[in-house]
Amino acid sequence: MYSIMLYMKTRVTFRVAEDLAVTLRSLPNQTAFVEAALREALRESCPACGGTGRAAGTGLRVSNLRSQSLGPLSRGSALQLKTLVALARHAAATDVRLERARESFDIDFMVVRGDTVLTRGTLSTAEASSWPS
Amino acid sequence: MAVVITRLCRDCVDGACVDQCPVEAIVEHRPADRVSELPNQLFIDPDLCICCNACIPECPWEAILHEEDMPAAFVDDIALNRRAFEKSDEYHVPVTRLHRRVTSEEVEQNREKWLNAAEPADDQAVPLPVA
Repeated sequence: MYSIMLYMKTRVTFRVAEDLAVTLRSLPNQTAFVEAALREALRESCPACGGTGRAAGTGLRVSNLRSQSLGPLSRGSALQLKTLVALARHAAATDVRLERARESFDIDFMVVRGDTVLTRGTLSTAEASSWPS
Repeated sequence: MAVVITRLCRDCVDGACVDQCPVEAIVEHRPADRVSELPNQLFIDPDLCICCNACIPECPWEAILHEEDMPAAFVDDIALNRRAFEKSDEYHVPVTRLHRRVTSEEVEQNREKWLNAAEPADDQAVPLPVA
């Protein structure tokens, strides 16, 4: 049964340092060991994709301005937000949360990856005051 | 209610809306395995659009409208934009678009053309001359 399972897998070849090769050959179940080690390393060491091979930033969620009761963005504000979104994607963030700043027409933002707040600040909407609401 | 790019966009060579969109929600239909069967225009992915409205004043053709403001002649365009969400792997942010400002007369002619045409044939589309 074990040998059938083994031949259903795809063979890969790679080079390692000699001491590591000796250790590896001494293991009773090399395939299972290497497979487990690779899966663990991919899952733990890649902050962008979490071992899935697909960066979390590609699924970035940005708050809908209408549902946040925020007015239209001016050209300048939109470009600020565009830069912020690009930064959030680069940082593999999962969310850019937007809400109206207290006592002004500016927009507070928070860039988040999972439960971690990566950065926060305020987008100026100075030009937006001339827009119809 | 989402923001929608209507058929007034067809054959446009201006990419100002793409440059302005903060979330890369404005896309073209560019499937990897075939030539697009859709009209030559841009679409807004309703799943990505955050309703910031930044694209609306950028469009020289005034082709970008809110769903609730859609004239009856352009209602079909809502479903066309929604398709970008349903088949998102076939839609991509345009890589290169030529930029040319259009005149107010061209905008008016374009509007008249599409409002008066129920379902025009492809050869009725008037491509813009490249400056």
